[in-house]
Amino acid sequence: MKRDFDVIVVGAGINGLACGAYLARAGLDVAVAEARNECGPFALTEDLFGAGVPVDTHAGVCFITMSPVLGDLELDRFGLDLIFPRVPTGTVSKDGSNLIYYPDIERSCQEIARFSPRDARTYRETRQSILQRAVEILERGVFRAPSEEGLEYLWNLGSLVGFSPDDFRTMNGFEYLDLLFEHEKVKCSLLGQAAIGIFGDPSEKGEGAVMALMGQACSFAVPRGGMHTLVHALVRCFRHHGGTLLLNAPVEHVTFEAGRPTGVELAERTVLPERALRARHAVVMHVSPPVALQLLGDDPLQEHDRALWRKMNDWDMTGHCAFTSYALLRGPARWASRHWNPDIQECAFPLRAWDSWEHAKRSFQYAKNDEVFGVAGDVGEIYQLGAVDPSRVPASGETVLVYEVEYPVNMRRHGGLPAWDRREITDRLHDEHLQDLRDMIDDFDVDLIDSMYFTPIDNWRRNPSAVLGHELGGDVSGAQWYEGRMPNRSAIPGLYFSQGVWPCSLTHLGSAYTTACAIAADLEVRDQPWWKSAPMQRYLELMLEREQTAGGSA
Amino acid sequence: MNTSYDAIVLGAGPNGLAAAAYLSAAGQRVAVIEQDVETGGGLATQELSGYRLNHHATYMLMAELLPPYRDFGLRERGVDFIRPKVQTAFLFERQQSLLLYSDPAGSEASVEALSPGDGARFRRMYDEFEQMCEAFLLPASYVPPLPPLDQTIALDQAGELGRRISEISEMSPREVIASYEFRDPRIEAAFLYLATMFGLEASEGGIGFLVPIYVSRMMKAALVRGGSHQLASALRRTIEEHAGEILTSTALQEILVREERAIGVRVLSRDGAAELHANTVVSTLNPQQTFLDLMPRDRVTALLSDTAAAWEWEPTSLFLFNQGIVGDPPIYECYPDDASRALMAVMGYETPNDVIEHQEAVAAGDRSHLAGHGSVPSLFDPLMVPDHVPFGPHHVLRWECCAPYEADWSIEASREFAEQRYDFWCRYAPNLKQAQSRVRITWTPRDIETHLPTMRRGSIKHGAYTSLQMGYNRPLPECSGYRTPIAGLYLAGSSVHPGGMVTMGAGYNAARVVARDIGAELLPEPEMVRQARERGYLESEEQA
Repeated sequence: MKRDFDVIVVGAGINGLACGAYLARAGLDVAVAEARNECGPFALTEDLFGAGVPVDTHAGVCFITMSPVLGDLELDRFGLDLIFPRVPTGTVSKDGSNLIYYPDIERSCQEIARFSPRDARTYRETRQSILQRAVEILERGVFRAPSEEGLEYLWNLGSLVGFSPDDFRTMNGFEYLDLLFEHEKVKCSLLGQAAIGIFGDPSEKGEGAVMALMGQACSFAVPRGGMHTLVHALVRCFRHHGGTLLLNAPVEHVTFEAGRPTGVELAERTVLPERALRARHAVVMHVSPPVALQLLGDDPLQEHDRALWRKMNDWDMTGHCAFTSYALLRGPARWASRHWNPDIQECAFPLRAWDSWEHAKRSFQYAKNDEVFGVAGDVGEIYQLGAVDPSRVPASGETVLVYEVEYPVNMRRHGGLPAWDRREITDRLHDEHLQDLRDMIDDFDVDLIDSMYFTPIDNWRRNPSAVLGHELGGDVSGAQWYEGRMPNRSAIPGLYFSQGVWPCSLTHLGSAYTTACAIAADLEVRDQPWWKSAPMQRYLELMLEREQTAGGSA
Repeated sequence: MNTSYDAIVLGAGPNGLAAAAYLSAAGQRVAVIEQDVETGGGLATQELSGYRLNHHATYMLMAELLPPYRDFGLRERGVDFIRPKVQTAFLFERQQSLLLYSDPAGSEASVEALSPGDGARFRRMYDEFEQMCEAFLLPASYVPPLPPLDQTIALDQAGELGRRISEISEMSPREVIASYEFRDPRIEAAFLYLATMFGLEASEGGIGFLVPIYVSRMMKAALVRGGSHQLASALRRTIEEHAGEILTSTALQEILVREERAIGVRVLSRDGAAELHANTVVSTLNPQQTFLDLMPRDRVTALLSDTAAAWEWEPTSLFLFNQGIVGDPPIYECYPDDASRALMAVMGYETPNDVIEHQEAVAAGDRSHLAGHGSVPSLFDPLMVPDHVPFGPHHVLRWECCAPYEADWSIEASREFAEQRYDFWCRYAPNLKQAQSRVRITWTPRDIETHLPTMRRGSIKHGAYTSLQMGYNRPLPECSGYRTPIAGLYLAGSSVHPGGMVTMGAGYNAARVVARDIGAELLPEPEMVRQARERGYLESEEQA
């Protein structure tokens, strides 16, 4: 068994793997050590019901279409096969209406115009001006480490939709949408879309407006066969470039000599015969800050990077956590709103939005006050991926609807965190989820075969890094937003972080990218012909491809 | 995608991976075709909310004796076997029990405590089984089978132990156990269950030679640290390091035969249909898949297609559930403490007839019997559960019992069946009632067939163990030497000697036969095989 490497990445989440793959491709000898048996714990595809229906248990849509990683790591060559849905997203309401967004702006505007012609015009103008600058917005706002200059850039983005930087930086997401749009269905729907991008909290000043705007620059695709194919592609790519993947290798602590990390010591329960691994140049912590702190120990940080030590001690792992319900149906869901627009049947990623704009504002208040049952039924992400990927539907025709709602993790009013293991609470929330679906889908109970759910604590069980069940390495707002996030590189030479950094660890693999850039620059291997100087080029090509396909079929 | 290989292996289960590892290590360019997205077949381990669930194979009979373990340094690759000290607890009525330990002295004491006088009988049986296993039965798994008459002659010439092996080979499992004349029927029931729990018929004659293997090895059963799949991962890594390719999510459409020679396969992957060519095709699928489903009728002789069509599946299959709980592991409070530390706890059998009646009832489609065994892999391996979460303790429970294939296995029916077994388990371990279930995955015989399509009708052995389907007759004399009448086509699955369980014998033997045919260099045989040859139980290598 090999024990010496240039770089050791702790944690095989998708961003840890992608970071390892960049560095391996750049010629470094990299190991990724993972505590559990599987990589990408939040990018899993599983036959949850044993019915032969592969279900993406967590991440359902892949934002890698807006990422430089797809091209740099040639993930299509390693088996990632992306489907660009004809009907990617939209919102469904309990009143039988829906609002669908198409790749083609004009087609989306027609749908918005059914609620408000004025909003349709505003949408056309704002979306066009944002899309024209999308490559730049993503390059500077997402795939680059935070800086003062970068923050200025974000505040100036408001000018794209007619706001002054001063107004924009004090605006929350509600105000942003209130000033631009008039119909509450349109506002609710755009707020819902923004909320899934997770670049901040919509109800916070400044970041709320930024995320509402950046939501319009996002795009996604659906990996054929399930999200886990992304993990498989990353693993294949990593190993193709000589990377060593160590599974069942829980790290007990990072070893230090003379104030520098020199490797990791694995826990006794590892399956590997050798527990001491050496890293010649760098250790990358791809675990959430509280876990990273535990593995690093207080001493080296206190001594060499006291500010960072304080930040990690104070790191907030509360905020939103996913509670996800899964419903096994006899066939495709029959949406009541198919009479409004039948394309809802084909929609990959419909959102259940709030019933009213007032309701939307109130729900963020509920969330802040830990009122779990106030939040229930407010906004939910729904994945009906069998509608766009036939490989997820068995010959017998069953489908699975995934319904994910973000809850305040603390649940103080119900006894705090342990309440997530109390059936009377979680069953009631699950029932509320099923009721939401019942309200929007005809004959839901006739078609329902089985259902189950995962709570935030179940998510923590799955992923040791997801402390308190937080799937993004901690809250992404306020003091932990943008410049307040973890640094990619610490003041300790050779110690890097790729979780809790900007942007957060989503399927666009942005945190892998920013971390890999920092390490490669420090180790002087950044100058690679394949590591594109214009990293968003691939994104542009895909966007064009999408528009053409959508235009062709419309 | 490459389209030309030296050898193509069909199926990435334990035998397919073993065969591919040996062939690629011998310098062959190998591709393994697997329909599933993952490799491992029955070695699959699923992780759900941090609980690891071994869907199929859990108890490793061969463990460190697996030839690939030594030949490919699998310990270095993360394969670590855990062998619990207390192996099996048989829980009887009236708070009586029998405990079997990996150390036979412990087992003997427990037998003696239950039934004075039977301790010495146990020791006699144990010693004899050990000798049989060491001298012949285990090494015989790693060489091609001999024709029955030749084998009998070899055994007779090998001496008294050999003749005793011949003698019990004619018997049924029940007769073999009965021949040790235990006074207490519970002891007989216990060993009969141990011998037949995984797909053997207690009353089937001519398979008695399997009894020493199962009884001896089930007292030395091991778990794979981190889950069974770790074993498959290590083999996969071995293959890939020898430049072999594993093509997952790739469905087989046809084995291509030209002029009575296998020349490759046609597959369907996400890239579409493709023909892959090779001079050697090694199938680990069952005979019906190999000869009926994947080959045009005119390419297969009547003998092959008739045998495949008449292939007999086991009359019973297996039902199991794996469950992740928050709560304490089962405490068998009316039994000795060691019962709660056993790898397996067997419940519901008092006499050998109970074992037989259960099997016969299941074979007739009745699934009302409450009996079977439970285990708690997390007692021995903390990697099996999400110990990092403070709301514990966390454990993984596993229940197994025989079950009929032909039955209503709808979601509701399977759930009810599982719930009844869980309640039954709680009768012995009342504290399980307090456990909170987080995840439970049940595998009915139908699910076995769905997830592991070589196991048709939920057959965990790839075909019944009858004297007509064992050894030299498995699947038929013309193919049991791993070669088939079609040049370049080899069999290497559990439907060839030595059959099922994770012995990797079929994959190992097939790889050696292929290597011999193509003139590739072979790794030395296992020490136990060399010794068995020296002592005359097996043919010398020159004869073979």
